[in-house]
Amino acid sequence: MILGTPVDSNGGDLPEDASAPQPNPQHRSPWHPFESQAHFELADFIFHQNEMPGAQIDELMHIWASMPGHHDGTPPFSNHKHLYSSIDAISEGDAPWTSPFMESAEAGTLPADDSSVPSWKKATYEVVFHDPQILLDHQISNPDFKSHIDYSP
Amino acid sequence: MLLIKTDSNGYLKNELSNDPDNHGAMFVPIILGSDKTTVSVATGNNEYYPIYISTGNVHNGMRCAHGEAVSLLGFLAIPK
Repeated sequence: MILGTPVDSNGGDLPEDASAPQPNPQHRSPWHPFESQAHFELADFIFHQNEMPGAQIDELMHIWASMPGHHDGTPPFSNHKHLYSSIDAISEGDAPWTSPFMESAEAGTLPADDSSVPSWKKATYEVVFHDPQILLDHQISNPDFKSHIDYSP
Repeated sequence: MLLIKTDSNGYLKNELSNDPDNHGAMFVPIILGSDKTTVSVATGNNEYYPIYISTGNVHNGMRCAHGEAVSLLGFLAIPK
């Protein structure tokens, strides 16, 4: 029977009063891969809100590093590449896009000069998609749905 | 997107539950949906055929109210 009762990640039964396992145990900080909430907010401000050019990010970090009273002279990001790579390293909600081209199964066998063949049969189309399993993993593991999900539909 | 539970769902679930290897697994019905949307850009018109993916586990109310219960799985772009 599919009962919708709590199990561990290997499908073994858990006692009814077991506490829920912690999500993403490999990430010590909820702000990973950023060092802190402030690092995340700074990256969001620079990259997302301000859309600052790379050279200006470098200059800002240079000024930041030489700011008097700033404890060890280390800026939040060493340069714009460090900031970009931190953003790219965000694994939360990440499902890479792929965009293969496809054409009609008959396309290769159609005569090129026959005007009675509809043009869509000869055209190549771009299909953009990402991995459905990753998307569904994200949907099912979303803590917002905790009390609004049917474990045995 | 609203879903109505049907008997075929229950039939499939009972079939799956007969296999002892499925013990501890969760049955996740997959829902796909599509529509056509026309997007005008400076260089001309494209028709986009998006396909959306969701699961039958999240409650209807949540699927309608919460953007993250339905994901864009992919799209086909057709230049006009």
